[in-house]
Amino acid sequence: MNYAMALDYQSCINCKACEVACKEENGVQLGADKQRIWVGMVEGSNEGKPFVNLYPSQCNHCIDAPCVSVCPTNASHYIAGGIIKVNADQCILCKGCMEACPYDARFIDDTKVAVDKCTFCEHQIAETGTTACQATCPTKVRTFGDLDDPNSDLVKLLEKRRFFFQKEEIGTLPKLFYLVPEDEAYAKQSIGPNTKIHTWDEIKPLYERAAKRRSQEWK
Amino acid sequence: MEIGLSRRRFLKGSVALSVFGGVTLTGPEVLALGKTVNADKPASYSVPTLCEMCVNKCALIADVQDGIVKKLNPNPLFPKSKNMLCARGVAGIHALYDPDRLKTPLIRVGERGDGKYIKATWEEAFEYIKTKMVKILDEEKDNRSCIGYCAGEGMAEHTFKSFMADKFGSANFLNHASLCLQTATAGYALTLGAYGQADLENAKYVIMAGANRAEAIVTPDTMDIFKRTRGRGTKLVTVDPRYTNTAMHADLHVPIKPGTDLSFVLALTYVVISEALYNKVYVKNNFNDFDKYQQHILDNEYTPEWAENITGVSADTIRTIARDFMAAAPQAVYYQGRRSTWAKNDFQLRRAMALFTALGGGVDVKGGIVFGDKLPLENHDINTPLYFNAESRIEGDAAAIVGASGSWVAWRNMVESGETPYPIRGMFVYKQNPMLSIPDTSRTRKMFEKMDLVVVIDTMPSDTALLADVILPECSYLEREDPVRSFPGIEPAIGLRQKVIEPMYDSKPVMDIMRGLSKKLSKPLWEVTKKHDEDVQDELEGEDELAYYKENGFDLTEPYLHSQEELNKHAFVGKHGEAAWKTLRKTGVYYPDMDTSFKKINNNDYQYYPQHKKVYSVLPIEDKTDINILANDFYKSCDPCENPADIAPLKRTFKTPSKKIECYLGNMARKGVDPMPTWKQDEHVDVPAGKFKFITGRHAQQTQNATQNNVMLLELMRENFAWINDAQAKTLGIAHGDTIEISSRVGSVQIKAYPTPKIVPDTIFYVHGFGAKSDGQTFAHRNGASDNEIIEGNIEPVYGASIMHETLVTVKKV
Amino acid sequence: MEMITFAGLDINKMSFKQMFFNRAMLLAYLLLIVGILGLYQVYDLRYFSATLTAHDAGIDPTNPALKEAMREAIFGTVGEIDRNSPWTVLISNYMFMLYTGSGIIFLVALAELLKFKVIEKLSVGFMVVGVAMVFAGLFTITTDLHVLNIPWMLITPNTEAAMWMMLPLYLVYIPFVLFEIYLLLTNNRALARKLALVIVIMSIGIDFIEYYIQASLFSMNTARHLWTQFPALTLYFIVSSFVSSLGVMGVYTYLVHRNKSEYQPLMSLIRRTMLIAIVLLGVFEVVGYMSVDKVWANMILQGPFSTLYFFGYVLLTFVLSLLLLIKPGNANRTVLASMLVIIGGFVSRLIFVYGGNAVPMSNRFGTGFEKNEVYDVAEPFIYTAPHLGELCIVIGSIGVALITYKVFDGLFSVAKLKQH
Repeated sequence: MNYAMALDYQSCINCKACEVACKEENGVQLGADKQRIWVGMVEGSNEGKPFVNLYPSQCNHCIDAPCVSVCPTNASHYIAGGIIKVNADQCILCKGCMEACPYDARFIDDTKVAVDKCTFCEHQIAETGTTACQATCPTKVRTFGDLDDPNSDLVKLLEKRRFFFQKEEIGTLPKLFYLVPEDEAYAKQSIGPNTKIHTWDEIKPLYERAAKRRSQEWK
Repeated sequence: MEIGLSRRRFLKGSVALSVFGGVTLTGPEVLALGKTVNADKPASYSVPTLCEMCVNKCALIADVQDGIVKKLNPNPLFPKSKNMLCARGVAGIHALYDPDRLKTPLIRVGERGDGKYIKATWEEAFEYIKTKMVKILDEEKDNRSCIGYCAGEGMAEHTFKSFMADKFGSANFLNHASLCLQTATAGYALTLGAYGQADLENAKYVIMAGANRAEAIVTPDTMDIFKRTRGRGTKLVTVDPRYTNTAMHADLHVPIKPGTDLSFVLALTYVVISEALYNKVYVKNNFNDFDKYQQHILDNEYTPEWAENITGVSADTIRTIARDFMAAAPQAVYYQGRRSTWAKNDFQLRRAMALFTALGGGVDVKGGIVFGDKLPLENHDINTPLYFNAESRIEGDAAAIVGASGSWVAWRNMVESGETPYPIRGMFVYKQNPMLSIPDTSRTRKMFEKMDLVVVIDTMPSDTALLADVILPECSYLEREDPVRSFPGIEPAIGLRQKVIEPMYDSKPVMDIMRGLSKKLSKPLWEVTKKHDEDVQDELEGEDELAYYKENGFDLTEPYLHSQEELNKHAFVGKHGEAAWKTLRKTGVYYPDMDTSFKKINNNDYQYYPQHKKVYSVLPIEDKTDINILANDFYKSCDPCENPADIAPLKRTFKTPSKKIECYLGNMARKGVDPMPTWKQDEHVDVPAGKFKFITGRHAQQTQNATQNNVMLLELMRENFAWINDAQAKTLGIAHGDTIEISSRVGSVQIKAYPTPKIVPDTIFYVHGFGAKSDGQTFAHRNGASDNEIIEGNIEPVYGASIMHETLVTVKKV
Repeated sequence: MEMITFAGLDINKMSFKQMFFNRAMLLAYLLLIVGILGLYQVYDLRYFSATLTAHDAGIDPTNPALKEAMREAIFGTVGEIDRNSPWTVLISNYMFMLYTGSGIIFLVALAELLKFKVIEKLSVGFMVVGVAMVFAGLFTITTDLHVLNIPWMLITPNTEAAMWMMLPLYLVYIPFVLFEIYLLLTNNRALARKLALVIVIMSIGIDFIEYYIQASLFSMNTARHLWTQFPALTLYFIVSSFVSSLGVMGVYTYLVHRNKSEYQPLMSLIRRTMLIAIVLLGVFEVVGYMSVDKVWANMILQGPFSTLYFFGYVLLTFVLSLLLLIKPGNANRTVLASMLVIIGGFVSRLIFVYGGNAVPMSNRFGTGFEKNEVYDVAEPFIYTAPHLGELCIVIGSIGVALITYKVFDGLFSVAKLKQH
């Protein structure tokens, strides 16, 4: 098992249903900065015409996650499917993982006095096969699934669409697959110039090898 | 570097933690210590129900754990909401558990508006209402209409309305329509026979003007269109003074000066007629008085160049849009929109929009505007009494046609200025908050201050509630069953709102409130009627009083004797049977053959109706000789009818007087309304130098003014900001976050500025709903600004709908 | 003064009053009280803030505490830590105290190895100053952690994490240094003489490892380019520490030894060493900022930190100090330079920590910094001001260092010349 998520972010309308569903499903701390998932906005204008890019996002559950390797007590750890969780009881609040995360996916849950983050709703995967953010989304931006299962919705989607990663150059092997928008203008506007575009056939061996290498830790 | 002092205040003692004992307790655990969990209840259960965080009524499944509602999930079975629940829907839990909720009936003890209330029992509250009502009606000689009443949109609206209108007998009903979609629904209905629904799942070209489906979510439209924008089947053109979240998805965004949309549509129509791009066969078969309209458009020279001057949209853009639209027709829609009445000409604008879509043939066609089907439910008959002394509504002459839901602004203005034909002595307010929802707040306040009895039924201590004599706490939608509802559409279905948990505190559903109120009022009011109603007095002579009272509907309690559950069963079972009833209760949703039709394709996609059972076309075909089949069957056979030639020969029977699409409204002309959409330059409000035009609208995280105390939603956007064109802001020295004062003739507010290129110059926008003054709402209290503090209370001439976008304001930095 | 001898150590026999109630101690207590007040505020924020989760509202909706927590969640700034800048002035102070302290220990060991007689005579005093600063650093870092969970460092260790390695490091380092001091204090014993060289060499090794682990702590955070791309971070930490260590040694020498005959030669040695260290550090700074990602380097050199960088650090540590040190002769000028490099050293630690967080992580797609709320502004720069409690803890840590030193001095008269 190797859980991951594809985001067809071109469909995002910034309604923030996912943010609320995440908080309500997981009992996340209240507070605007206490988000396990979010919709990022980049605003600007081009020749006087305004534009906005919307980037729904969350933890990448990287295969080579710096937040796990820096944690002194193994509070930040992998579980089955390569999901990264934090065991609040073991967290010493050194905040090294927050510093290490290239995606700003972590924050301190003051009710637990520990670092908190997205869990891919692992408590309900067995029952529903999906996450709260995917289920509630009006325009169905997200597709959660198992990269190891060639019949999963996720792999079928990745086979059809090209995609890219956030900050791929950092080498953490992130597992949020951002699907290249079908509209060329939006693709151009919303994908950074140095971003590499991938296909599943091409990236699959790399991800499979990496997952295999990690599989011992994914318990 | 700056050094911050302590960033926050602390709350000592409320949250405990044993630092040295080795056990940490979080705040909530400590809170929970004093709480006993009811052991009798099942540990956890789920209830399918319908949302009420906005008007859409999406289907959801409420998960309850240990008696506490833990999560609201989308119910995938419902074709209207298509397995989604938006931010507001999911945050419904925090409406239920809002700490500021109204918990018991309250009776005013201080001056009106100063917020001093004492807790009361329901009996005491009803007694208070009765005493005042009897006095008022006695003084007004049983003129029932001296008590006005208003309701916000909702599934229980009818329960309230049936009491006030049918049983109590007041003609002065008001609801959101004249503040909302009155002109749009009427414009489409009088032109096409119905408002219809845009088939955005199949439309190839959509013009969304003013409508903002990404932020003002409407199901299924929002889900349908944004899965198909950005090169996936729908060309989307947005026309809006603001670059909205909808505009982000548009292939073409056309910034337009507020209030000039009619000019834009007329110019599109001009291009289409002058270049003969319209569907000629469809027009020939289905239009009435097209020649008049054609001549009207051409004679008035509504050219793109003419429109460019008015709208600020280039003539080339207008031509391109017109041509592209017709190239995609009939799968091309000028989207109807909902919240409307931007300018005085709004009714004409909606007519012009409807006619423009129809010119392409896109009405009653897959991918166009469709009318859909509706599953039947049994009606409940109410035995309505006749009150001889009950007068008709006060503002009937305020506009050409004042409908059954009235003209709120005209009504308010008359009551406030004391220009009513008879005194308006009191008002019942259900689930509406006129203090925030009606333009010119200060006049609304004065209106309430004049009244002898104001009763507010709500879940939250709104600004209006704080002007009431009696506040009655309604339970939230998660604590009650509401009348079963049939949802029309391409994939029609029936949905049921069921009770998830028992009503909290001393709150009650409207059904129970009406039951209690009717019991209390029925006999005493009957005495008033007997005293003053000459008809009744005549008829009573020699009759048995009790029998007469019951037979003629004067027994007000009669509609409320049964529980809502019983009434729902009666309404449903007669049409769909017992088995279907069980399904509906179990799943919250019903439509025919649901068990076989409903299919999960994957976690994101579901099938509701199979393709051939979707209802795209419903109008009877007038001339069946050409094509010897019914319209429905026709579409099944030549799916998807993408060739205009296929639809053109069909003569439809529209639900209009002429059975055709009406270009010319002769009846309206007699009432002084333009029979055809006409641009009147003298009615257009131009923006003089140094002023701005104020416009309002929606964000997806809040519903009107009802959700601003919801912490989960506030967290997403904690206050509203005023949009101002960034270049103009710069010249005024206004930077992001600066407090600015916005003043109109009727009021003035202070709000933070959001300079942005996303709004056209000379225009100020901020989202509706913020700026509540009620200190009963801890989080909404004086947070941001209310639009209606500054919008002037003017109405358009056809329906008396409130004009929202013609107020001129000045802006200055504070 | 009377003495007790224990395990070869001569311990002063002092009354409780003599030991704990003197002018220096009272100052230390004052500083410590400030620190404890700071700790109170930090703990209050961390453990007693009015906070709640999404699930809490339903438990007891009418509880006034709930409403207060909700108000804080929406309109306040919840909790102790801003997610954008997790490490704060406490980490800066930890770095400053600990690195400077170990720098002194490192320098003394080097001097012993290189047989600088004048240092050898006074090495115990310097060592104790070093240890005192190490304790001050550890005090600071402890306040920043959730101490109740520290046992997990032993129960479920992640032995590959630099953060974890700090635990065994200090478990070895501190006893080792104390043992070193013990040997120095008992240097007339045969065993000490025999071990001296070995211990000194080991000590230098451990010091080096200490800096290495500190450097890997920062460079493991892949996202923060200021930290990961600064070349040879271990050496940078050592060199920069030497500068402030020498500063502390200079001030200490002035305070304690200024009336002794060794004063002038000692200050002269400090002056010369400091000159070398400052020049080396200058080279590091230049090379360093040339190799760090432009965005991050610019943030320091041209961005909002530049004033502090140039006036609080470069001017004090390089320009003024070099001017004061370049000409030999006047010990007072060295003392002044010492004070300047101490301030400059602290400022550089501040900039290093805050600079590492200054570039937001939110440019996730290479199209610009993101914001989450429509009415926010996407800031290209992150700085969260330390709150008062944190600053109080920094002040308190000086008290910790002072108390540590005074206890050692009271017991062992460490400021006295070593008898040969």
